[in-house]
Amino acid sequence: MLKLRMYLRLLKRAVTKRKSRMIISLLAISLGAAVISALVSVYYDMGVKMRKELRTYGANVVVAPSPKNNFISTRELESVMDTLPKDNLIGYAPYIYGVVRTGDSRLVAAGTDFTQVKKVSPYWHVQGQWPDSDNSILVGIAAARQLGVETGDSIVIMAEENKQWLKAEVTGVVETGGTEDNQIIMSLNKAQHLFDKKGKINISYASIIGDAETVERWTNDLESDLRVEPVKKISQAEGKILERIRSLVYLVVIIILGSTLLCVTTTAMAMIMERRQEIALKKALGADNKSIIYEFLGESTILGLLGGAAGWAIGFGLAQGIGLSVFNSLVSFRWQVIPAVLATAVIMSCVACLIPINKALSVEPAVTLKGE
Amino acid sequence: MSDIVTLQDVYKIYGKVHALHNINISIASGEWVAVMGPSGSGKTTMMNIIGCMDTPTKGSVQVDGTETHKLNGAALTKLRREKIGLVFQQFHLVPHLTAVENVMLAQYYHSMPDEKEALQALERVGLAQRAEHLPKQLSGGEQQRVCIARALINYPSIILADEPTGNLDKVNERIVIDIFNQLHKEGHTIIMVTHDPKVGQLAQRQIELDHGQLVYSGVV
Amino acid sequence: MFFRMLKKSFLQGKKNKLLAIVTIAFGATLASAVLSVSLDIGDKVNKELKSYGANLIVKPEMEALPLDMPGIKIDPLADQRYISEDELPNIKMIFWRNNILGFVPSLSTSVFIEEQEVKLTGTWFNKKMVIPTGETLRTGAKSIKTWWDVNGNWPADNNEPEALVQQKLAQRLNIANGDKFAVTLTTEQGRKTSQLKVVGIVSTGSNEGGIFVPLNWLQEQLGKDNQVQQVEVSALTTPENALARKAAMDLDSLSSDEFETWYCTAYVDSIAYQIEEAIPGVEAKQLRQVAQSEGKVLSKIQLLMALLTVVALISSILGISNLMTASVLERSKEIGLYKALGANNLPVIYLFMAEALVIGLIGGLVGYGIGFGFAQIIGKSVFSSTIAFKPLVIPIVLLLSTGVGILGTISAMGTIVKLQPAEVLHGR
Repeated sequence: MLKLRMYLRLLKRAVTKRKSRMIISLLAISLGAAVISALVSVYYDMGVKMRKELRTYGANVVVAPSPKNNFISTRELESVMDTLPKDNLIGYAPYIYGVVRTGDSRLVAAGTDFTQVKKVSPYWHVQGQWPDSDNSILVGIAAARQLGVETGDSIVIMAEENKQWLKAEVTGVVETGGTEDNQIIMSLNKAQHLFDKKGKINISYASIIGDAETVERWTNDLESDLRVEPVKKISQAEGKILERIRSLVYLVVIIILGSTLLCVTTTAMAMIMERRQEIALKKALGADNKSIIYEFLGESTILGLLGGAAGWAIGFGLAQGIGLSVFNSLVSFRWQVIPAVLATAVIMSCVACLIPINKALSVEPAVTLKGE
Repeated sequence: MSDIVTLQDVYKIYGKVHALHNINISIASGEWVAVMGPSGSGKTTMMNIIGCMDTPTKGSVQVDGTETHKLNGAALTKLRREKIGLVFQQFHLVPHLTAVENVMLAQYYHSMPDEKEALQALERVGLAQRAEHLPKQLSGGEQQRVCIARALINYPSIILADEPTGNLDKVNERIVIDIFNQLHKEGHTIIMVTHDPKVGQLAQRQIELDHGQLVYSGVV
Repeated sequence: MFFRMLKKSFLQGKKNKLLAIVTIAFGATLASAVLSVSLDIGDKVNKELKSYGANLIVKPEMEALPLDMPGIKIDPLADQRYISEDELPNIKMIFWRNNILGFVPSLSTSVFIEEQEVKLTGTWFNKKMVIPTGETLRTGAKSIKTWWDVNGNWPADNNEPEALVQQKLAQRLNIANGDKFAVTLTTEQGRKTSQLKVVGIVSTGSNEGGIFVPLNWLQEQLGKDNQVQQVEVSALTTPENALARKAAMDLDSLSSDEFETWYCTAYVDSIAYQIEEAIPGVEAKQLRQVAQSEGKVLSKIQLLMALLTVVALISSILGISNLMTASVLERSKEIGLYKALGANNLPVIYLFMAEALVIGLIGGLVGYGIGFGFAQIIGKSVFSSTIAFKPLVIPIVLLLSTGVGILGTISAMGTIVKLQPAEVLHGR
């Protein structure tokens, strides 16, 4: 009991009375722990975040009518989409198409949900405004050139099949490099009305966060007459890219961790080497190797815990910085990181102390004490 | 009086150098011996062997009834903390421990720390009021007195002092010498290495070494 | 005498110096590995992003708008304009020719199989093409459309009637590899029926109802020798910046200097512009879905790597400066002695700085060597290619290691200046 009290007292003194040295050791260890906790946090969050980023490539799932049908009812589409995990569904944009005439040109008009398009196809480049009412439309850049219309103009559109017509204002010109460049795009409602296809759409594109296999599993599991298929080009490329980025960051993180650990360890080693004399003295006073090792291990554990805790906090902050600046979102809190960081910090500081201590213990006390 | 330390035909050889060459000494319990001689004469080597910090290359050593030349490191350490009190020229206090804690450190490695007893030991060397000071707040003489208190705390059979006054001014030297005188009167065995003939004369017996050989032993 | 002291300090305190050099080498390893990788990462990730397919599409300038509706109807070939196949090698002759990774021309038509309308596309699969510079290039669907999953063989790029059939269609027609089937084509001379042999079943992941045949065969059948409808081009591009956006708004608004910069930067738009210059009568457009996303993802990854580099640098800086401080503290006795011998603060500081400099240089060089090795390992295992040697990294790493070495000493300067020789030499 008394012995334990003395042990604790020795530890307390070693930590509190050797300020400049302790600060250096603590700094080194918390630096190491900070780097570890930041990188581990970022690394584990990166997959999800990068997946989200890669969704800028647009829809990875296409929903088409069953082979017998040309149309999907909006209700059917909604019920299919409801079965997908909410958190993973970024959005789904329904489309209805028809051939229209305006002036003496014949072209395709599409109806869609603009709020969904913004989510699913963030690469659409609109000069002007996105339509905010049923009476405003977007015109594809090639179509605009062909028709000779500009933002602000009004045009009359007539559906070829049923001869219905409408007049709408062009609020923006859209450029995608794809088929949209040749089309007129209006709100879903308006188009359904124009083509007399209430509650019907031709096709829908959805953007879902998930790797190729997950998306495939979801789409296979759906019990629906609709053809729900992953867009292979997008989902496969996504998996591949993600794999590459992940292994890149993994290796970089490993290298950073490795050399940080070594840097910290050598610093801590230097700090212990300085105390050879103290070790020799204790030996001369009759301490056996075990009790000296216990003392230093105790000190190292305290240092490791303190440094680890501080490092974890700093690192978590650092991770937030990286998350915010790269992915515009916070890195999530993972409690598993805390014990991992603390353990690493303690092991780091204990290993750093054991190597030089073993060396110091093998030296005869007499030599060190006499020979300055 | 029985002999507490006996060295018989002791050699300590480093490569070709004979640090100690055929040393035969007996020291009686309660005796105060001064070990003298020029630098490199083997004084420190002999002290280390007597202090259980080193073993001879050849020959036998008995410390308080134990044959130390047969012991390994751990057993030597054990014997050292039981029998030997060490006083150093450079004091060697642990810098981050207070005076009383430095004394308690010896108790701690020996058996049980006892702060009261440690304080009494400091009182004996006249440092009761400095007990909570760190070494760097103490003067050289005060540090040496802490060192002596520490050496005494476990009731050692032998006190080994290596140039205890070497780093002290006259005033402190006097104080330290007085303490040693007191210890001698109480019956402690003291073996002290010193350069200073005046200090050496205070001892009952003087041993002089030169080139690892015993050249003189006796009262001046 | 100064150099003698420096030399002695290294010879005597070998172990400590070694430890310091090792620490600095670790730091420098870290810095140079991460720096080398992140400086070279742009092109490599860019190449990986090519698995999303072509980012540029080249089409003839047209009068009428094509009536393309996804999955609904196929535009007939009537009043279609064409690009001459002979002109295609010119794409590899533009300023940024080395950034053009490949391209796939295609020519599509509707055919009938057992009264069903099916889309038939003539294209290059893995065509060997000779460029006017004398180089040869293998390009086609096989390298550009990496997501195509072919069960069987790829057709040869000649005029054999070999076909890749999309999975859904193959199921519907109940045909397998080696089977032959008849297709009815509509040509300017009227309808004609040809036999095709299935050499492979392809899964392309969307619109799974078509057939792919060698371009030359289809041209021959349709009597449209040397004609293609569109070319998909895969090019390495630089993410857009302010200049690229300004050019996209209005190319004429650029000053001649700006235009030159824009022209000589691998923006997707400037590559498109150069392709339009190289082949008259075509329109080259960026496929925004691929091109824009590419830029975004690329800049994200570069930013991530940059931040990791910063973390790595900070970590090595702190590691090194800690060690330097520790080693100065350890040597306070030596410093006390110099001062006791009458040294001012400055000579002592100079000595320590010179030591730090030597340690920093050695550690930095060693670390650079190891770090470059690590960079190669990363390059090989992640991108299966080596990381380019960037001379810029060497001075950065050396500056860093010596700078940090000295900085570490400076932080310990305070200790040196405050040190009282007497205090140190007479036991602590």
